[in-house]
Amino acid sequence: MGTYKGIQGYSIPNLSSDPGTLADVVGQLWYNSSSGKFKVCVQAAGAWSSGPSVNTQRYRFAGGAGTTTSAMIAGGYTAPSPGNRDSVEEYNGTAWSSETSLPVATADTVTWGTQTAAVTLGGNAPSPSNNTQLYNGASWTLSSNTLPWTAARIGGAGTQTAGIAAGGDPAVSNSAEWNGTAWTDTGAYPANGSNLMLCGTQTATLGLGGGNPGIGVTTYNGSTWTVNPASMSNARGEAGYSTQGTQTASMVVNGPVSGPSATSMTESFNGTSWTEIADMSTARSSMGSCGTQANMMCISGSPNTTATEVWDGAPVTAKIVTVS
Amino acid sequence: MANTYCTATNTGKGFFTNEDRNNFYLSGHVGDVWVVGNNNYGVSWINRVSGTAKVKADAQAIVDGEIETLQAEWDALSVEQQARTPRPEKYILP
Repeated sequence: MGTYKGIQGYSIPNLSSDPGTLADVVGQLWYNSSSGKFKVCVQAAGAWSSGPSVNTQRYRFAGGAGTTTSAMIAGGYTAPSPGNRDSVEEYNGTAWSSETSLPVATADTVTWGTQTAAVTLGGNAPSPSNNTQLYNGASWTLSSNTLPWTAARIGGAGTQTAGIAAGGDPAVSNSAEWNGTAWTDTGAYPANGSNLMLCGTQTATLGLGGGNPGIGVTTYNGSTWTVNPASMSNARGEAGYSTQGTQTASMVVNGPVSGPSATSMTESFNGTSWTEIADMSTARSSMGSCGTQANMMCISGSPNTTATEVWDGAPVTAKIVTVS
Repeated sequence: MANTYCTATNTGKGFFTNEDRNNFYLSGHVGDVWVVGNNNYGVSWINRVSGTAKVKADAQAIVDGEIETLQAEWDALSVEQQARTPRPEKYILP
């Protein structure tokens, strides 16, 4: 039988307290002399947990600015009234607060950027628009430079000074870059599609899912869109996604409709393949989302919910070893 | 029995945790209905969140009623708005 020293190359450490950075000792065993217990560091499977609710229920909005500790959402729709929303909320890591409203009440928008430098693009206002609405963390400006096409449910990503947009409803394959003041047409997106989920940067963009009819996975290198052969297990649009994700680390969660075909499925992408991981608790669609593959938040959505759920990756904990 | 049922108000952060999600099945539905894995962890969670236990038929009735309300709201939308989101449909709780 192998010994711990034979496997690890050293004896079981005798420590007066647990290691300070547990992530560095996953799978390691030690003796805690203060508690008189053997302990092991384990990494649990990742899971979604409940987060603070937003103040205003809404759906038909995509993306969001910022991270799971500093986020912003804008626009959307609430049925039966008031319909299109102009309301904006920010999250500070503890709670959501209402902020300065959008210049134009808009449903079916997409938002990207940071909490203090964001873009909310297009949407039904009430008909498909090409509005570029800019947020500085305190106030909004309706840019005089509009997107080259009018649409709702456009995909968008990047920053307020280096953004990328593609697709939309009515289904188009248009794509354009935003430099902070003006839009420039790029090569066409590989398919007509609405509800495209874009993340990454203007020169390293990842396009995910979408519908009508949409396409699986695409990448953009700053000049050309390319189809990636990897496909999600459950192709979808109107989902939550890691708005700050990258071409090699992104995540998509939940699905397009309520009812029998609702999905709370989470899929994670590593640049070449998808892995299905833990489901969310509440299936929903048309929600906001923000964050990265490691730290992501899904916000409000349909059917009527103000709830948020947060993904904090796979937690690492020190467990007492029980020997019987 | 694989699942148990309750109603509980989602109070936000801490209502369910990563650890809860790893310890038992949990899914949330309209009408504050929760389907909970029927093990010790799940039962403890219902107590922790002050959930009100329901038999499946009662939980299903709450969800059906909420969806009927959502369907009525959807039916009242204009044709233009209806085209932008699917009509909510009833489904069977797990």
